[in-house]
Amino acid sequence: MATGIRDKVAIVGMGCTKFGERWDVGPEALMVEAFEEAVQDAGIGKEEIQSAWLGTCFEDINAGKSGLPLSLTLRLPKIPVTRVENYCATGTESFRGACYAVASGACDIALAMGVEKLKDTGYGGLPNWGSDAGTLTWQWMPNLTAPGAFAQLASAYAAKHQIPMEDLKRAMATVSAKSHANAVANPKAHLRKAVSVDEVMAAPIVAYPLGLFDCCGVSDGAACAIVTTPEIARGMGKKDFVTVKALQLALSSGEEMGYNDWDVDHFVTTAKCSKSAYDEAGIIDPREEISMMEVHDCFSITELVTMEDLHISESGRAVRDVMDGFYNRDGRIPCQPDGGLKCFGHPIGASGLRMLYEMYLQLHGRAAERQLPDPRFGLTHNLGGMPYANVCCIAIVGRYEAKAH
Amino acid sequence: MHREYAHPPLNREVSSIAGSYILVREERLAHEGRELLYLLGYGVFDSTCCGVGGCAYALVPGFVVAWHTGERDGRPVSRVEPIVDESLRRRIEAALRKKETLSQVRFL
Repeated sequence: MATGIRDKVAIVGMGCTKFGERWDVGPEALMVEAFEEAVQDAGIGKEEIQSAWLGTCFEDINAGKSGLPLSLTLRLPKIPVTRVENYCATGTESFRGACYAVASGACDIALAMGVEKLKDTGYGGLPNWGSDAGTLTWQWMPNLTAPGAFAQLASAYAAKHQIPMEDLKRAMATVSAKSHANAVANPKAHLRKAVSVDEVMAAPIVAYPLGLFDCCGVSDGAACAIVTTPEIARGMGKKDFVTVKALQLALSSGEEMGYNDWDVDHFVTTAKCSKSAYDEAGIIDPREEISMMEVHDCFSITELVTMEDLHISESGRAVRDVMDGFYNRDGRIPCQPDGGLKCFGHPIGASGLRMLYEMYLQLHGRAAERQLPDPRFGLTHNLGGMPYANVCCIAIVGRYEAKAH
Repeated sequence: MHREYAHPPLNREVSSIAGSYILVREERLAHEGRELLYLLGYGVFDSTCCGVGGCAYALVPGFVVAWHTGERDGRPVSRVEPIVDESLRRRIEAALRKKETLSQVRFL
């Protein structure tokens, strides 16, 4: 009988670069920057790391294939290093590998690194996936675009819940404006600039109803975590450390895409993954027990619908919660306290670990101007792929002594 | 139904992480016996995860009911009647496309 990962892994050090147009550095320097902060935070030497995971998505134009870019860059002492990739969940997938290694007893101290360098490709946007998308994707969806697919989700959500499109657009604009407001206080964010709801609403459309401010951007960045067991963390002199309460992954089976049961109005994977995560963490009522979140806001509608798939907003009521300020920094469950993908951009391999970094800072009371009052449990969520077929990864972290309900 | 409309500043770039837009002109057009307010702008999507693109576009707050009736945050405010009727929207869009070079018409 599986017992889960709750409180079996402690995070003893984290690091995160400034995200942005980092023309002056390559992926190697980004990894070093994040790593130096993490080892200093953990108070260990790199020779104490026994296994490492590297998350990076577009390896061909980025860090390169295999675990070697990490082991060579950090001069890791001939230890196991594995590269992982799982779409936009890549960073958290790297974290999952390190956590499972520690929880299993395969090693005492492990490193999870995520990095992506997308600004020196010579073109805007993400690279064309080409044959990297597999042999069937372009046959299934020959004219597929991400904004097009998520715009369909927005339209279907509005239709199902009978929400006037202008109301949904204003709620999405409020989602974006909230993240921009939060990022102003974050020196590591790519874009630190407040925008008004009116400014968001006046932007041109990318794919109706999604406008310019509903879409996230590409960026450069790296983030990493050093994990160990609670017992070793105590032995290292750590007192108020953060542990992993849950770490869950759910991937589409193809049913959303292949059958008519799904209304294109929500993410089937997130709805399931979040329940598994709450079970693992011992959380019964997430609306009452989760203190803060970093969720995947590749598009504003993704964040809004995710509120419902996380079982925090009732079905069809996320618009009301957003407009009531429930997810604002001073609301009941602040969402994207660091600014989210909207202000950090989305260097894919780094994003999941960047989200965990914010939860880690908040739980330690080290988030400076962004600090939330007494957070107990932080949730991070990644969604890679499209509404009809995707990878969902959810982590819940909290102080070691914090118990649910 | 009327509403207050705060006129946005012109020729000021509004940037997001995915690109930017700029509103360059504000126009009033006689249309079907009424005065229509619209703005013209350009958007560039040059760093989105979605890809790359750009467009010229029009924003249509609605028919002018009362011009510059007040001020909000240093911006003049007018009273407008939003365009909600679909057939009227189509006629306005056709008129704007005939008059201006643009690829999007958005009704606020």
